[in-house]
Amino acid sequence: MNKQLVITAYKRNRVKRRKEWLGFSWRIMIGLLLLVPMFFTFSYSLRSDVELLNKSSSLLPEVWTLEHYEWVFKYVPVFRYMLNSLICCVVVIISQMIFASMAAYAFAFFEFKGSKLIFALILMTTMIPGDVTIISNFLTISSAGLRDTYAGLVLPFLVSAMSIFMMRQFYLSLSEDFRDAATLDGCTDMGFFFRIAVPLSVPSLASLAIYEFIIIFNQYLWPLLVSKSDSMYTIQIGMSMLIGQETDEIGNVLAGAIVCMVPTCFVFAIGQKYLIAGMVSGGIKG
Amino acid sequence: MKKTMSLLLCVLLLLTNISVFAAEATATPEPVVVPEGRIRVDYWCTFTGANGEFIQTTIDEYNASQEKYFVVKQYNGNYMEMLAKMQTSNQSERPHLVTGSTEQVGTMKYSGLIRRMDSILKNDEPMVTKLYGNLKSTWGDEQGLVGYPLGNSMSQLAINKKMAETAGVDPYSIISMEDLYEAAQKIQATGLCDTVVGTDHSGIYPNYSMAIEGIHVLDNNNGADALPSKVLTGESPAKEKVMKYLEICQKMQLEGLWYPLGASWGGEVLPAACSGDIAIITGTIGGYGRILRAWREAHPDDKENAFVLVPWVSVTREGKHEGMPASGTGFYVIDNGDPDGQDGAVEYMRYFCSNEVQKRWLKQTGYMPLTPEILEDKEFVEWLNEDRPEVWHLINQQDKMGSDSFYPVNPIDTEWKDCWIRAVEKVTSDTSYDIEKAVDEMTVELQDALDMWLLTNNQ
Repeated sequence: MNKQLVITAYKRNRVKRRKEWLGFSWRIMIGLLLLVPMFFTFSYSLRSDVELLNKSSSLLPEVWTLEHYEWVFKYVPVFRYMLNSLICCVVVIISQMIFASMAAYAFAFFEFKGSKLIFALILMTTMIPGDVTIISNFLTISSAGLRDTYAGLVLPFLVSAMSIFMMRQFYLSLSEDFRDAATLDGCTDMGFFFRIAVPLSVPSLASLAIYEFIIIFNQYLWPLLVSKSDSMYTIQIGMSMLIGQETDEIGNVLAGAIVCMVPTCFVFAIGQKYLIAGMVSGGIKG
Repeated sequence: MKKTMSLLLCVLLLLTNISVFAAEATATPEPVVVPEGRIRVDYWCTFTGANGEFIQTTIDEYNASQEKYFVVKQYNGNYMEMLAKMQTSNQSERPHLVTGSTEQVGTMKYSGLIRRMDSILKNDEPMVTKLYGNLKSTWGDEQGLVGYPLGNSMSQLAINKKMAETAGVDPYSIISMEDLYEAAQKIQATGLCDTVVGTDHSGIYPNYSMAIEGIHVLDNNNGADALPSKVLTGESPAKEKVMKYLEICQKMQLEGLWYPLGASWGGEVLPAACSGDIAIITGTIGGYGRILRAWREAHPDDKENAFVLVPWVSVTREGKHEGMPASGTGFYVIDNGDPDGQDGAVEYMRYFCSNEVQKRWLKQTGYMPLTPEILEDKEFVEWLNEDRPEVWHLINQQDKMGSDSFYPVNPIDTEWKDCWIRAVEKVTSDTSYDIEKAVDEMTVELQDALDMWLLTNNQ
């Protein structure tokens, strides 16, 4: 009888392990599939023009060269543009964290007249495509004399409905017991916000930060419209210079793509745990 | 995994940054300081990379050559992005000078943004009188010039000489899509390559074919007269030619003669031409410089240029061949409310179009001359003879074809090109697609675009 149980348990274990392996292999395959274009981008960016033009199909370059990277850094002020992009990202992220967490706190924890309507109105703004508002935003920024300034670059993105919604969903998942206990201990509303809600929402805030970083870092049309001088351009504008007239040499474009991709990948690699946690935090209400 | 990923990215960062130190010069944007007492001239330029650097050199030369104006070059995206930026900007925030394409002549003409070139340049000055006829008609209308070319980039076929010879094809006999189809069949039959023709998948080529054929695909003053276009309906000759063009595209697809349509020209078609996977590559003469450079890099032992150049083709052999549409880039002077700056823009334009600068520019880009005058320059002719003698055929053809470009100056060029692309894609991605249906759908799309334009332009 015991032997039978052991055999059954062994079989069950084997099936479980097999399933785990299958799942693992499947995930590795998907991962590899996603990595292949990045790998080839990197590999091809390190090949000479001769090799690229001869359509070499080997995985790695026959002769390794940094000539395309040299070209990119020679013709595009990468560091200046990268710095501008990072400044925009940092300002937007800090602002969104402050405004989104405070607004979301109000919507999640306070009952006030018209709160549902206001929240619905805020949500409705997410349904308006950015392309529709870009001209009116541009005219506002332009008439305020903010073209070619960091303020002009970031102003329309300091608050967003998406981030308010994201943070609200997180706060809704916090148990009411936290608040009750804090109130009993004499904590004020703002005290609860700063001492309990914000520290608990660090994963959501981190996720918000990464999400915004990716959006702002990849912006192209808005910085192109608002900036006027070379010293205010962002990295995506710099990268578009690689596909200029008669100049879209594939090696240079790939090298530019790698340079441009590194900060985003870096941020994503560091914060992927928070990004995923933040995205699903509103899924289960506590 | 996260650590590995971070490590990998750090290595990437390190690698890419090492190249900064390896680079001879690192680009750093310096704030532009306009010297006191000089008039600032803002020039929005689409050229980047080596060509952008060349233009900057000419600006520096011009700024040093006089003390009245100071030209400042800025990059503001591609043609369409630049146009959008100008349209959204207040008049005073617009530049004095921009580069734009031949296809934008109609858009610019009706945009209200520009000062027509014929209101700036005198009709009897050499810059106008000596300009090739087809450039005059491409860059203007019956009144005169709208913009002024800075590069004459004729569209053409670059044909691999040896492959054509093996197949018994005389490259110079290819003057129509019908000829191109037959030549491609012959080359394919030799087994030298599987697919034969690699193309820059753009709507300009069917447009040009119609132009060389002598057909205007839009009527009613190219759509600007606010009347519905009937040119592609019924039994019109235009409809017949458009159908013929699409029919040949479809047959070539069916027989595997096209290198995959839509492939990146620089990233895929060009390497295919250099590695001998295709025998014919379409493009503009500006692009030919790149083909040649790439071929020479890939075949350093090959001393002779591998390609024969022939002008882009009509639809049928019976095509008029009376006009040669010019592709390329040009200057538009923008009405930004600052006439002094605009004068400076014109002066710089004159400098750029002088023989001295043009000679260097043509060598740099491979563009064709703007005027026959430059062909009197011994040094330039020597370079042409030595470096790219095959271009002479294009120059001679341009001379022969007279002054009518037949290129319709229409205000909806972007949509027009897209309509063409969609029609070609429909009949090639599904080789059983009814061609007449594709043309009918194209007519509706064109009319929609025209209606939208008329509506937004208060016509």
